[in-house]
Amino acid sequence: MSQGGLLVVRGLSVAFKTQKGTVQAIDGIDLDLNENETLAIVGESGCGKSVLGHAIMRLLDDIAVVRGSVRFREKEVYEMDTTALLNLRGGLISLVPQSPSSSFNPVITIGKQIEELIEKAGKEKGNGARKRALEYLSLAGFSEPELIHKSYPHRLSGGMCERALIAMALSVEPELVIADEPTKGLDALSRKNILGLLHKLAKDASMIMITHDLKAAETCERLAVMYSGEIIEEGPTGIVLNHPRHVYTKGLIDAQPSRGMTPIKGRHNLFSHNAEGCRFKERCDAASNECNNHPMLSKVEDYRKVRCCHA
Amino acid sequence: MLELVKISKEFRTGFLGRNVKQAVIDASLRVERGEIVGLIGESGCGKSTLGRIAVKLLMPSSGHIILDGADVTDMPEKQFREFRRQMQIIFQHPETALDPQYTLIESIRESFNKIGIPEAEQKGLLENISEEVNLPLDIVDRHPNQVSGGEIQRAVLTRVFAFEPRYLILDEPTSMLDVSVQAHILQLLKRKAKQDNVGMLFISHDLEVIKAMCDRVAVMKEGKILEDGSVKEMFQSPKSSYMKQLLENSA
Repeated sequence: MSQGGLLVVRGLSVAFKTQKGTVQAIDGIDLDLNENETLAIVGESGCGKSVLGHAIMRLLDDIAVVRGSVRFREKEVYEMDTTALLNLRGGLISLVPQSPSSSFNPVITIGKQIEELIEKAGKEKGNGARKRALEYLSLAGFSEPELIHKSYPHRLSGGMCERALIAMALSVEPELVIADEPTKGLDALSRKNILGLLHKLAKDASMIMITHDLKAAETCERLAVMYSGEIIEEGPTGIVLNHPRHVYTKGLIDAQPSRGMTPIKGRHNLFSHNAEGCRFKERCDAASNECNNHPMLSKVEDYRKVRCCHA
Repeated sequence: MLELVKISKEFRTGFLGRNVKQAVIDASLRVERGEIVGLIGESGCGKSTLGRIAVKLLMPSSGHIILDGADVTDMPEKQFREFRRQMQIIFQHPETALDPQYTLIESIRESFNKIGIPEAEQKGLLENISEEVNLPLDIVDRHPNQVSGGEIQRAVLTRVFAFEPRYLILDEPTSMLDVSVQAHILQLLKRKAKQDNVGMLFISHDLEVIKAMCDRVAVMKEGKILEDGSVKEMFQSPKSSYMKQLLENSA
């Protein structure tokens, strides 16, 4: 565990108070990210991966009850004042949000929105901001950046919006990029382009890529697999994908069409958080009495952790 | 056999329809019963338009739709209704597929009533199909926003299977679903095709899904079908440079 890494998350839990009671979205997350490192967080809908991304930036609204600590460059994010927080978001940490087409303001041109961010982050002003916006649009692979700059978001396709969002997020030269489902709903060609672009533009930054696409996750150095609000396996991407230790990770890999499309049995119970013991035990063939005790995320090899008593 | 013969479709937009967009150009395709035919191509290539034309949700500008030997292209709606039951379509976005004001069971009952299944038999039929598609019956009283995408897709399949269709058009049925849910649904569709002899046109941009699911594949670009052939031919020795490019990019 490297002290003084770029991002250190300890015991991070988020609960939402709803009319039907409290829902624990993420539970006791520990995470370390070093400078220039890329980490993929994979998991299925509802496992809490997007909540984790938002919690790191302190973007959750008031109905969320957050416990634990998020330290960025050794500063506690949840103790920052407004000025420091504004400097953090959109300056030091940039988010590439999900659903590209609805993430831009529909009544302001793409260019204006990028310039606004550059100015707010205090990087450039006026003409300088415009120049930088155009530069990043062309880095994002647009052959006519001026045209995109003066376009309204509805004129762009999903893939183009995603590229423009990436250009926007990277235009402030952040130290950490959090990309939430950057490849969702894109065809193979666009997916390859977007992943290439993200890694190219973020080469001087660290990145957390939140995705349910194992193919996209392969492009990152480290991989964390989430299930029911917890990290259940973590390690170097190649090793985790080639030699998974947790039954759920194996299940995800075997469910891919190229790997035989074997479904994981049972269904993902969003409220299994409340259950005692291992949260995956109902869907696991190897489950035994031991699984009634909640397993810890423990080291199985160097650089590698698994939350399963059978691993 | 469902045959699409030299289908073209143009959309007119702008002032007095002066901008003409050729969405589909001279596309021919056939789907035998019990066979899964993949239709691939990038976003905007016209594959969804072609799928909608196949069930006459859109009328082609020219060309013919031939269903089991009968030309249904210009058939009046009343006469066509019988044929429509035999061809069903499933869309990409589960969250908009069902009426948000209806519970799942109300949506399912609606189609049971359309088919004319007597009230007394509906419960039994629902139990049969829901078991086949793995739809948990304890959630059917919920509205679409209260269940997951995979569960909506199962409710949609319950409706569709009740018609005992001969042909299914699947327009990216799993692209918004998680990989393990996708695996469930794809396995289910594959089994349905073989067991009940249903011909399927599977529209997708995911080559891996196509490879795992289909018997034959057609590749489409800018409204034209460039080539079609068996999965093996198309994935091992494609003729068109576009298919080669797609394969390289998905690797």
